[in-house]
Amino acid sequence: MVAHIVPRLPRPIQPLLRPLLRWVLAPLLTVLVASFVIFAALAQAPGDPVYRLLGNHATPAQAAYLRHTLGLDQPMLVRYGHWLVGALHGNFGDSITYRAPVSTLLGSRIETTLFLVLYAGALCLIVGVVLGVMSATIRPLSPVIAATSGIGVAIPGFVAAILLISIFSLALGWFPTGGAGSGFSDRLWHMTLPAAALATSWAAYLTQVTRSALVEQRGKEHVETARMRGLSTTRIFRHHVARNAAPPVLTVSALTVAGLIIGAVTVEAAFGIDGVGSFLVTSIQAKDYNVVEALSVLIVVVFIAATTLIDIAEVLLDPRLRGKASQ
Amino acid sequence: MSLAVSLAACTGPSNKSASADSNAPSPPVPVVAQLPASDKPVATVSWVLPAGEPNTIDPMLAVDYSPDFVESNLCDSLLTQGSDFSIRPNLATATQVNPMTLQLTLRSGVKFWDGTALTVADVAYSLNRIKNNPDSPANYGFQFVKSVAVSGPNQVTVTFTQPNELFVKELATPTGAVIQQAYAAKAGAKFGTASGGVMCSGPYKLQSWIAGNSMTLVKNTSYWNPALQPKIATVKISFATDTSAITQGLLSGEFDGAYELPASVIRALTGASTGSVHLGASPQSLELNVTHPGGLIANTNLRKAIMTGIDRAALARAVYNGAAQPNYTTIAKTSWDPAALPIYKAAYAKFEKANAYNPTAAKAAVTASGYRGQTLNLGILAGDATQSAAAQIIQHDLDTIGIKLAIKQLQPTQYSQAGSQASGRAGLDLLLGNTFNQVADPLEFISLTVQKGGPFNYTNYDSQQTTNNINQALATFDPAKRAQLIIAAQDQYEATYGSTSLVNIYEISFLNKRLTGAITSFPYMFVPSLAYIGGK
Repeated sequence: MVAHIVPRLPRPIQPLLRPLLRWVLAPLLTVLVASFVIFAALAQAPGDPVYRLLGNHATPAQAAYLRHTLGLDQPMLVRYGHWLVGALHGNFGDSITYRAPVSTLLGSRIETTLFLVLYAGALCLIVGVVLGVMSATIRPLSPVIAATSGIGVAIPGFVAAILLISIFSLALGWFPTGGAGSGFSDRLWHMTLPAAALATSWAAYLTQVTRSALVEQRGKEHVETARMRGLSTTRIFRHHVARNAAPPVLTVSALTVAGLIIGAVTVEAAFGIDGVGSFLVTSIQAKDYNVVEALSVLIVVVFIAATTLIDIAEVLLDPRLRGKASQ
Repeated sequence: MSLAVSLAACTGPSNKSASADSNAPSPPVPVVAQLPASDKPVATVSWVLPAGEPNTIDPMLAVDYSPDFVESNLCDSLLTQGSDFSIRPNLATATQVNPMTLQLTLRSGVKFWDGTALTVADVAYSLNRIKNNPDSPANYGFQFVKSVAVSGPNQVTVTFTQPNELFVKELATPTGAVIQQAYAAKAGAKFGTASGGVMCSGPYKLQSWIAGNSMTLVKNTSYWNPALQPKIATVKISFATDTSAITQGLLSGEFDGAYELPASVIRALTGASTGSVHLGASPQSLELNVTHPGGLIANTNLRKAIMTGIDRAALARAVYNGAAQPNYTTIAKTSWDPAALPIYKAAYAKFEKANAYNPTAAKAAVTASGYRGQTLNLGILAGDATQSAAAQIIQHDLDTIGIKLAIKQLQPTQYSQAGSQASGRAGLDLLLGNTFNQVADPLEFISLTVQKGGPFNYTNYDSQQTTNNINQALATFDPAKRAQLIIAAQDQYEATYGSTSLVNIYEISFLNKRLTGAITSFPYMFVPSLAYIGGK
């Protein structure tokens, strides 16, 4: 009986509804839930942020006054409500620590981290895919690349940072030991080692994924058939192997984007770069609600956007998935 | 009655002469207050702040290493400090007309960066701004201030509800910094932030502050003080908190200098080809606090056992690489008033003897206390490598005398709260803390520690005799007479073993070999320290 009460949607809308749910509404809901969970978790964490601002002579009356001034004496749900309403209007509030709008504090930091992540991402893709293809196609190189990428995957960003600094900065003096630099060329020079440190393990992982995807596709029946039909190696590679090997490589690339953002936290610290990562860490320590909230939501959005875009790309790339997406 | 405050003192606290502890480690490099002066211009210097980006440069809100360092180079204070901790006239001279009245006479001819004259109205505005803002960390200094008012063309008068000899000294810190009223009123809430900046009269002007990236200071070419003309044209300030990033930057010459370096980097930086490590006297100390009045830790014998069971010299050696000296009283030796040094030193000798490391006596005190193997909890700041190392030595030392100690890592906000609020100390018996005084005067610290209701009086110590002595000391403007009252209070409260300074920590700095002139003692933080630095 209940089923009859729910109005049935007209047929032409249905195929649109599923992608809308999958690619628009679900991600938005995820961001909303994540923002609440982060806010609540921070509120539950022990420690009162006002004492860090007042220094070591703070009296309880001073603390109460500052708490009231900053609105921290209101219930958590009220504060979250304020934040959400503000955020929907593009206002992410003021930082408790810096007493300045979060948006102005984030500007240059986002720029720094974006530069670092894009630079590292480009290195990952170029190195990862090129080495992966080389490893799958040039047989004598395969064991060497496999061993090197195996080591690369195991090296965390901060270890890579120490190695790179001691070789290329302190011993050879080619690159600066830290800082973000200013202006494009100076920035590129300053960010080369951090980007390399950040990219190392992800590039190695991408090498392995690319290699195994290519090797797997090469063994497939239709490739054998194409080979028996006498098609050229280049053509087989381009049309049958590479195209089918792309989806797993794309999926890993999306993971790589998220991984690079998270990895930026330690690499930024090692190179003394004040980017989003190091700002998030210090803001969590200071319980700077609005900053933590804005940054966390930003990271969630980037992560979800990356996975959604890859999802869409996979559907576009593989016609068989198109029907499934709208079902 | 006219009481002239003695603003100049000839000797600063010297850790070396003050210590008679034969086990005290020798510092890895000589302890000096200032490097040889310089007059040589330098185009650019790159400075790094190990405590990270300042959260503000508003003098009213500046309370930590980074904000104070930057603010002090931009904004002149009414009084200033010498590298020997002496208090000296600066924008004004101070006269204590009587215990309830302080008169500030403004120097003429001082201009803000924008060329307008610095007036008594700006002075009164700057002081009243702190007085009227309870969220200013400096507000506590104004607890006995009744009014601040312009009383003449070049005069501002401060009146008090009760005498406070400390007040005038605090004018040689950001508390006494003068900002331009018109600019502050226009900037509103943005004043002191990256987008609002400040308007002051200091030797350096803020050229740019890119939040999260860097700050650039440029010299004020029309600075009023002929003795302190800035020699560096442009100072680029970076913010790096990672110890290895800082060390590598200093070793490679990318950073020219830094204050507040952690002791762990001394070994890496000693013998660097780019520059040298310097140590200077500093009223910073590592404190061990008893966190509440009740429970197991209320037992004086147990407290005494803990205080005498910790090898402070070993702490100074192992944790601070010799850049610290053992200390045996609540008052850190380095916060003794420079004008009454011999009096404090003489009184200290008996505590140094009584509280010296003595595991046998400590074990006996444990037995006498009735302690039955319960675990005590020590709170430390999570992620602080120095505190963590110190806590492990303390744990080992107490284990030797039969006391079980668990180390509790507290997250930064939790740790700050533990330092200021009883509820934040729940579950802890002891709390490790790093403290510093802004001026060399024991009252700055002990009046907050052993006065009834004081923010650091964790054990609710309440002695009318001590309170009387401290209140009298606050009303005594003669350093020698004041020292006697403070020492009388010290005799009373030390008997309860409430809290103690374990070691005095030297100020650790690094300067590139192309530079000299830097103040290397702690007053660097409250004076325009970059204006002292020049080329070799």
